[in-house]
Amino acid sequence: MATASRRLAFSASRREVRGWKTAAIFVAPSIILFTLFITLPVMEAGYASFFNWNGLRAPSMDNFVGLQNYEKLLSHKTFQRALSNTGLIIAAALLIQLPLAMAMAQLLAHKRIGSVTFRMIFFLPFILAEVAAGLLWRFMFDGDVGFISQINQALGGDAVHILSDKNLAVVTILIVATWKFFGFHMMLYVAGMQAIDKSLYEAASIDGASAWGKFWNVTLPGIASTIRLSVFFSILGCLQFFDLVVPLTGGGPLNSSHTIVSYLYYFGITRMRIGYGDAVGVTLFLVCVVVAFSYKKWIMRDD
Amino acid sequence: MKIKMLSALALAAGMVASNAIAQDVEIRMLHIGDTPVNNETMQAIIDEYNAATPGVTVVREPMENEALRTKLPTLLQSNDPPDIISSFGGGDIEAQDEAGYLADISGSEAAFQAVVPQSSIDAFKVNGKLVGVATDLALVNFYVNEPLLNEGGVEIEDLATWDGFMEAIDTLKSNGVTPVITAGGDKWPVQHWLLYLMLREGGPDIMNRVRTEGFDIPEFIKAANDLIEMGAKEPFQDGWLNEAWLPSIGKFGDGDGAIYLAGNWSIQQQADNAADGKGIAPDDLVLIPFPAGFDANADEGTGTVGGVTGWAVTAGAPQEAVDFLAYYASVDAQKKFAEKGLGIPSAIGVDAHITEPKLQWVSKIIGQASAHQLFADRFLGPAAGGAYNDVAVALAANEMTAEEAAATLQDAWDNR
Repeated sequence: MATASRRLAFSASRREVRGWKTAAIFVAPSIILFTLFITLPVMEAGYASFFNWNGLRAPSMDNFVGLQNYEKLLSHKTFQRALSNTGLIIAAALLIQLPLAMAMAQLLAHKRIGSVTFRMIFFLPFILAEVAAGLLWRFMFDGDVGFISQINQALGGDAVHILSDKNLAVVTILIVATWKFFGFHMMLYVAGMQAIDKSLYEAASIDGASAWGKFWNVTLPGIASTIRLSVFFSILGCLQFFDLVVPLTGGGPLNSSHTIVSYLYYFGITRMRIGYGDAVGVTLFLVCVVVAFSYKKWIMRDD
Repeated sequence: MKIKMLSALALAAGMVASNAIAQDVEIRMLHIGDTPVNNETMQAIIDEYNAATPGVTVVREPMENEALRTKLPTLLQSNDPPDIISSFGGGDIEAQDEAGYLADISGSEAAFQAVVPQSSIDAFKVNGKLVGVATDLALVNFYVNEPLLNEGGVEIEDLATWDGFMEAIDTLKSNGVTPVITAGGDKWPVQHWLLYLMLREGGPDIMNRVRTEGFDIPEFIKAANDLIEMGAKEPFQDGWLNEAWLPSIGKFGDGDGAIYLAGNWSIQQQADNAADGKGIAPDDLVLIPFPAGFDANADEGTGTVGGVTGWAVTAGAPQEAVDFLAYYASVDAQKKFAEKGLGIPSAIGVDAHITEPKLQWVSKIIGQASAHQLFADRFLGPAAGGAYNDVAVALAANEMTAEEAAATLQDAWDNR
């Protein structure tokens, strides 16, 4: 009896060891890739952020400045503006872009004449390269040849130089971002809505629910996990917002329309202050990590 | 059969070896390619050189000015950097050399001494080490659309003094003429204003002084306040704060404004970028010095702003790159630019080939200058230079005080 139980224990432990080995074989590539492409670069950036380093050769202790890059960063008015602009872009995404996407999805989710065509039309801006979209809208907002300015002049007004207005330039970013990305979120919602069991709507109709009641009590709960995912994508995308800003406003005028990443590019990379840029990158990384983990923990815990 | 196979292998091996020996050396030359006619002229010189030098192929890689400025640091760090790079010298080459990205071509100094003046060689020395050569001089000064200026009630002579220029702004505006065109989006065209004012208020040595004594000196504060005072008159075109260089010089060529403080590359670019492709007629485009007549007039009103444009050789570039550069800097090559009115080459003996009257004037003014100050954003290097451009635009837009400007620049300089 004792021998049999020892055999069983031995066999279980062998199975356990084999299981660990198998797991290690499958997990190892992921760990190696994660280490090579995520952990090491982040650690390197974190290390470089403690140096006043121009990026042209390895940082040396002569250039060690401790936390000075972070202190300067947090007290730099342009970075503070970049932070508030990024916050504004997130707010616009959550309060304008996603509700608009939801409204369009509600209109176009089910088979009606033209619904597929309109879905494609609204989705098209998303597949356009961001740099191309930025350039396109730069021409649209141009004070000399842009259509807004032309229309205003045709109506007897003056040329409108929106991109030269330090208070309005960031608004153009919000407009273009909404135009560019709402179609993507609309598609997510459409997919979610189409997966809802139709019998739920029939039951709601029998119970006398209004259109709003069906939306509130059937559609919204039905796509709740999609909404949570869409908000997650949206927030992280906004935190990393860059490609549209460079061709559209270049962060100007007077550095008024920078986002965190365009600030990193212009004040870190182009000025060859790579250590300082790394401090921006690390700050952004920490913000992203905190947002991502908090969101996963508190908002997406059941998904 | 075995012998045949061995013979074939030996033949093949021989062919591979001889092929390796005869393989071309490719020299990649990265340059600012904003001006088509300039590119064509460069290509003509390169084609001639390639034809005359078997085994060497020079390839030019044009890039827009701003793009080159921002991408160069990354290109230099790559495994395959260009062999020769367009450069304005100054703080840029100091930083690049300190990092070990430039070649030491001091051994070829004699070859350059044979083709360019010593000043063009010295402009590309870092701590006594030769890293490149200047092939072109540039001058920034007032470009005036004379008929438009007159239409606005101002004569060229009125622009000789700063007070006269300030009055001219009011007169032109009251007559519906935009006084000045600039490009606040690209920023660097605005820095020329601050730099000239610093020269006039602080004298030829002002840039060295701010580097050593700091920016918070009375002369800098005075110059910054001059720019604030000018900006308060709102002399620039609508939308200037987001305007890029090429569209802005095109607007000047279109006659949208009377004055542009620009460099001699503008003679061609105002035409290339004008809506009609012709720009201001040569007789109507008048070049005059930046105003004098300041209280201090510390540079006697003759100091100039501009550049010594040249080329730096990157570390690891083959000797053929240096040989090509010595040819490219020579009068045999540079006369092609001079004859077409494309800049002021520094090659010895090129003066006879400068036929464009405006460039002859530019050459004369540089020769008479009490100082020829390199562009501030180049002189200060990328970090402080970028801040300098920001500050110049902020002062001109009345968004910053002179004291704040000094503090911002000092911080940028200390943390460069």
